[in-house]
Amino acid sequence: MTEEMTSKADRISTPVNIVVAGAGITGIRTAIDFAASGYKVLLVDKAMHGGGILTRLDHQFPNDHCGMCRMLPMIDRGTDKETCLRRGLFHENILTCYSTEVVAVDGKAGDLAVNLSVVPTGVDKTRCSGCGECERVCPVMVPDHFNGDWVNRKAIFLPTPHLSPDSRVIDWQACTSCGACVEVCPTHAITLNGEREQVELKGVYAVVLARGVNLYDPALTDVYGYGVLPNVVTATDFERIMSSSGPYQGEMMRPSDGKPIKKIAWIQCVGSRNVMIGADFCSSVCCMFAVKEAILAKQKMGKESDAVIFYMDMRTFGRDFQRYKDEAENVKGIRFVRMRVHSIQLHENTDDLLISYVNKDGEQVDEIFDLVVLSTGRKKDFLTCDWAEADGVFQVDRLPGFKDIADSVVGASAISEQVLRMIHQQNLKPDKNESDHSPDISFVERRPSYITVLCDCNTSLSNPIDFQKLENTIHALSSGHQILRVEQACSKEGWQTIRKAIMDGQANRCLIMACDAAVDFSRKREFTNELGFPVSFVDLLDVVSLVRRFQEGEDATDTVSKEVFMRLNRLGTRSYASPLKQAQVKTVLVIGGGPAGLQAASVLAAHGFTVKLVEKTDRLGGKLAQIEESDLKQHVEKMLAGVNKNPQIDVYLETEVIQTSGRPGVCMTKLKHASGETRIIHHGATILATGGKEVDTSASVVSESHERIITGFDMDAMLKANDSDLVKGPVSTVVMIQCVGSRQEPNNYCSRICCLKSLKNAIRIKDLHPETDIYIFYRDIMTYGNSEILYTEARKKGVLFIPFDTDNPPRINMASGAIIIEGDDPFLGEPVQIKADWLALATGVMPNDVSDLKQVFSFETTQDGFIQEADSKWRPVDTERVGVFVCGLARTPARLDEVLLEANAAAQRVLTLLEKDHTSYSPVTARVRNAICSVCGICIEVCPYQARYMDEDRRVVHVDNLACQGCGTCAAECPNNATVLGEYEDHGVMSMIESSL
Amino acid sequence: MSTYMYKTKDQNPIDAVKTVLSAMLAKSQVDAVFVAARTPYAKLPMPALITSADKMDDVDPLAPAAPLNAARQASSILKYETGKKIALVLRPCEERALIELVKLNQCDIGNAVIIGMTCMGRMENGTYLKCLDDHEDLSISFYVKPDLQAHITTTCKSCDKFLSPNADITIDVTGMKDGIIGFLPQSEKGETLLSGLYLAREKTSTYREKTIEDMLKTRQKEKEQVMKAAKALLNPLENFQKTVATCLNCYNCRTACPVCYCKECVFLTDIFAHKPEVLFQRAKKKGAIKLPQDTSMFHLTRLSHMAHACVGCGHCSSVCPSGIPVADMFRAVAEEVQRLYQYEPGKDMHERPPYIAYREKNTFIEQGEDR
Amino acid sequence: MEQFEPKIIALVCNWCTYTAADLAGTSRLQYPANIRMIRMMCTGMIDSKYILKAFLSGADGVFVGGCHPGDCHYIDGNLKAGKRIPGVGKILEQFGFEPDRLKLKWIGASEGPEFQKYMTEFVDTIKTLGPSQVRDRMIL
Ligand code: SF4
Ligand code: SF4
Ligand code: FES
Repeated sequence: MTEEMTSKADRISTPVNIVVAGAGITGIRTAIDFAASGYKVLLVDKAMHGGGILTRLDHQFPNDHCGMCRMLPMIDRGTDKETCLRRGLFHENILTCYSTEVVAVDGKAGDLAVNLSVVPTGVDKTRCSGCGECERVCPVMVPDHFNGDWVNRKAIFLPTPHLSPDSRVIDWQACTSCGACVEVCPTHAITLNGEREQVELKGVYAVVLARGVNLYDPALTDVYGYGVLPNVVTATDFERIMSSSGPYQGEMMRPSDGKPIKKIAWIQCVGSRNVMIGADFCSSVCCMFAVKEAILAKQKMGKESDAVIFYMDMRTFGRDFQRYKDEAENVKGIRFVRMRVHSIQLHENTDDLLISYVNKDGEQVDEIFDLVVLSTGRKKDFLTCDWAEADGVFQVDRLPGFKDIADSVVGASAISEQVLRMIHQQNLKPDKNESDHSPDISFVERRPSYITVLCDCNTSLSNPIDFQKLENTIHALSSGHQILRVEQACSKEGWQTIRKAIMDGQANRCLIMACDAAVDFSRKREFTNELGFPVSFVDLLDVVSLVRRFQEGEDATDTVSKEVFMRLNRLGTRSYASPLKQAQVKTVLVIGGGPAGLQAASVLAAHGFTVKLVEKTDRLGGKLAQIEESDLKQHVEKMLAGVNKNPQIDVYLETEVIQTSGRPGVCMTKLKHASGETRIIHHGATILATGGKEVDTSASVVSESHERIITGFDMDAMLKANDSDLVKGPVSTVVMIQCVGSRQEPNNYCSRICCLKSLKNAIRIKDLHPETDIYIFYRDIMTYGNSEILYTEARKKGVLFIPFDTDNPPRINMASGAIIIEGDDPFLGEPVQIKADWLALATGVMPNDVSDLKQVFSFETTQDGFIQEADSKWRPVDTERVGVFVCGLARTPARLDEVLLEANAAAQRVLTLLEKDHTSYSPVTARVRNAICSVCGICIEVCPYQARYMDEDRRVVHVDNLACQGCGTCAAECPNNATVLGEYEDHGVMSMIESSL
Repeated sequence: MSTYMYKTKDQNPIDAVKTVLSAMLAKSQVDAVFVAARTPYAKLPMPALITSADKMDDVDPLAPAAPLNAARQASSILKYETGKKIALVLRPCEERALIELVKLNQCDIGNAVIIGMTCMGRMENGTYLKCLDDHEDLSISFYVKPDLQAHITTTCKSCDKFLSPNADITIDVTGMKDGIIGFLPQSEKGETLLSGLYLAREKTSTYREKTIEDMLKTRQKEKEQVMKAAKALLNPLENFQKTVATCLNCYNCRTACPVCYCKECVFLTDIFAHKPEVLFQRAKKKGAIKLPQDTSMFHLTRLSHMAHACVGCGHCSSVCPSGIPVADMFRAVAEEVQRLYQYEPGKDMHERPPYIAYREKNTFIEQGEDR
Repeated sequence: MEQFEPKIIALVCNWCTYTAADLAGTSRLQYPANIRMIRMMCTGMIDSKYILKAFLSGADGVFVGGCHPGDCHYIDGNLKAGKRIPGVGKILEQFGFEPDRLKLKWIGASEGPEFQKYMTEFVDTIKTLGPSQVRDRMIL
């Protein structure tokens, strides 16, 4: 063991304000939220890597794309290494630590002692160059669980394929301590000590518990032969088969014999919705997950392929999910079969799999598949954790459950908001970064003079470099180049030498060539902060990755020299613009006074912001009267009272927003009262909480009204009124029809609440009048998550469920004055005719009209009029316009509890934007050189973030530094470089290109 | 739009144009007229902005000369909405360029009246002046004598876009051999203006169609040849090197280009102002370099900026001190680029340039991904 | 004759394609040494000038790699590249550069093997095409 060996425990010793336990999407999201506000975060996970299940997926529904990186901070981008999240999370305020558990939390919120138990990785990250020698010599082979156990890995290995820096970790369970790796490691990075270390952190403000739920293991219930039949796989394992970074490099071949896969079946609800194994819940995401897999698999398998999904209910309960599924079925040719598959058999003497079932027309069908994918959901329970209820611990979910990405992100930010609220109320401050040094201007503005640091640690390279030749290249560039050769740049001494040389020397441009351990992101920060170099004046060349693609032994001198030459040339063109700091207006405009708006307003006020709450009608509260959950109702009532009393909240009733201008952080908006009076308010951000309403679509199924044909909402109201006919009875037969006017064009989305409403109504009626016959005609019952119990309960109570297809909906016959419902019962295979006392039509919800606001704020709406978020997975409460957020029914159909969470999440986004007094921006930001700008406006049209605008009167183009994300499209389109992107100035890039040839 | 035109009779055609323009001013139909006129000190017609009806003497829009493409000058007057109504007399290539400039937010023509013409072409300045020595009435005789028409520029000879489809009014010169000039209303606006001027209204003459048809045939044939020859000037690169061997990097071509709208060309900015070290590096690499540098880079970059918008007016060739046939080459490239983008410059004010309309007609994306 | 070692520039986006390239490296997928990779934040920022510059400075081929449509970190920078770059290719073609010398491909973060494949294929293509027509004595 070398002296510099830094154990993980050592690294954790830096101040930590917030500990986040669990590094799945939720954990990552909260960690980024805190980090963006300046708090020091320790993100830990029991697993050997972060990212949770997402590290195994290449694409996620509902758009079959990735885009995880869009979660990264958009403001102060420079604090983060702007790189694909699958490679890791690199933020100057976030320390990640895997194989680490929180074991105890003590104290009071705001001042906690947190005990961690850390399993060392065995490999010193700051020294490992990722050369992989250890892996080569390790004699132990174990199944690679990450890749579905289809291939083997070593005991020392890379936990996820993308990991960066790619330092290895030791799996202590597999390790035999033979020591082969220790000997071979050229940087002496390995120590064979897997002993757990205990670390105690003091003065932690809060702990976030984002534990997630584990996947169900289908081997536990062997109905489908998982673990026995090699071609029966789980949905997550199947992701690996499809992935280019998987065991078959993306070739669609099956595990048993490598045969190309052409026909696949998905079986839904494995381990979920199964009362027999105590799984009375729906895992919520598997339906969409399967549809996505089917679409992608079919694409990969090409023509003559077949993808079939066997399901009970297709739970497409997200806003865009129904259309997604319809497209899969109608355009992409995925087959959907409603059927609980009984068993899977081997077909004759092959590895093929046989599934027998009865189809819609009552015929027995035998189908043979190359592969069967089990849509396994979650395990029943959380893993236990005794400190979950301790003071200062914030749990992301109180109940176990899976959520899709958008819901997870919303849930996560909602928790971040709560944590920060506690912190703000206790008046705690983030541990300040020392990084606010500004470089010395005279130093920066001198003519470039260079120092090039070459790490001699050639030993970690499998390819020789002729250093003399390299030095010659550098000297040829210009005279007076300083070259420094150091032994091991990654070691403490090495680092000291470099620092000294720079401090004593004249150079104001620096290139360091070393392996990625020495040149990792945090080093660069440290370096620029301490030595006063602007970030862009330092370049770190990871020589190991550069030569990795070569054959072993191949001489790398030319390539390395070229690269050094290119980079030095580019460094010479860099210039420094001191970052502007912008003051923020700590006032928030909230539009809409329903539950979402009230929640957002009260929460923001609690953080100390001033809120301008604008409501179109003459009262706040929205559809308060209709809220059925009494606790939620109380909550909203309390908020309502609070908002009216709160001096920080100004309420404007009967008021509309008619005009806005400015940029995130500083906006000016004009309000108009019904009386015609206008006023201007100044604010820093906007939340759109314009809400939605029920939509009475009864007319789509009944031609004339009938007093006993009502909507589900009406029925609910009647059941709450003690003197109503329904409560008083007698009631002999009640029929409900689901999805009336929903989930088909033009309103092709699930309203999320109608199934629950109908089930609750049915249960209530059964409780009141057990003898009543209740029939529910449905397409798919959307009791996602734990609400599945309602479905189970209703069935138990004898409610009868009759499925129908859109092409054969139940018919309502009122000819005789009675209400007769005719339909077909696919289970019985015959027509049914029911005479109903009451018919409840489950009608849905729709968003309120926002066309005027759309003009004002220039956001997009979906075809159904919901406000379009910036990214349906990763930025669900942002609009495309930075600084304008959205929550609640305005964006998507949702239950009230979900709506409230969204409001918290939107408030959190506001915090990130406005919390700091000033915001600075990343050097990679566009700026306009107005003197040569021709004001053509092309850049404004191509900017994807609406970050540019034109001052029409003065005819000048401006860039909004916060909204600009540095994509550089504007600079590429601007013909004369009146727009330039920091760090990517054209002469720099072109000189790099030129010097590479 | 209409099948009739307004004619003035018994008048010298040039005077007829003057009369019409003066009448527009005198009747306050417009506040100003933008039209080519001889300056008191030179015989070459230059764009002029005229607000007074009695300053029409030197107006000469029919002269077969145009030292510059007037679109850029026009756009400087129309930079933004001034409330002034202006009639612009433009050649078709100028009109197309102006429309491109509108798309680039360089001007606003909402309040302008565009008077186009059936363009018979222009001569290079020198040729024009020489012809003027022999033909004092060149602006009329040019339209009557085919041998004079043979002196127009190569670009004009091979131009097949000699009509002004987007103008409000077209000045029809096809009847000039019979001493007649016509004003063809092409929009509501044009119709209203002309009908207020007490001109005689007649059916469009049949010879107009015939003349246009013949002209189109000849021009297209010529164009084919010019384009073919031009391609050989570019391809292979070796040929292009010969073509631009005498290029001085004076950037005259880009100054003359009506759609090169940048305030300052990128080749004049810091991006191409190389440090001595860079020049040494370059010299070292090759042993010797020619100065000024970036000649090919300049031409190709310029193409990448304006090929889609090139209206083929030929002014770049006209201004080149080294006599490089810039326009021929650029038109040849532009044709290909415009075909690729299915984009026709100057055709429709509302059609957005390809780079802005990146979501439309994005064949690369639509066809999967191969290039 | 000395074997022709083409000079190739790969302009790759920072998010997906660069990750794929890195993955190819970590997975020890070998690909030719003659590729100089330059990281751009997004294909949408690739100015036509960069491509022209590369060719006029003697590159035998230019490869542009970005995220698949829909995956671009900046929403649709790749669509902009998809429109712009074929135009540059068209121009170069008129000057005698073979169209195959400029390639645009979408490579997702996990597509290390694809990255390797495209690179190898591209180098092969360029080898078949032979050296670029650009010569030292040209006025570029
Ligand atoms: S593209 Fe360039 S010239 Fe045009 S407005 Fe933008 S910065 Fe100005
Ligand atoms: S287009 Fe320009 S201003 Fe807009 S985000 Fe990209 S770099 Fe920033
Ligand atoms: S970020 Fe990869 S193409 Fe835009």
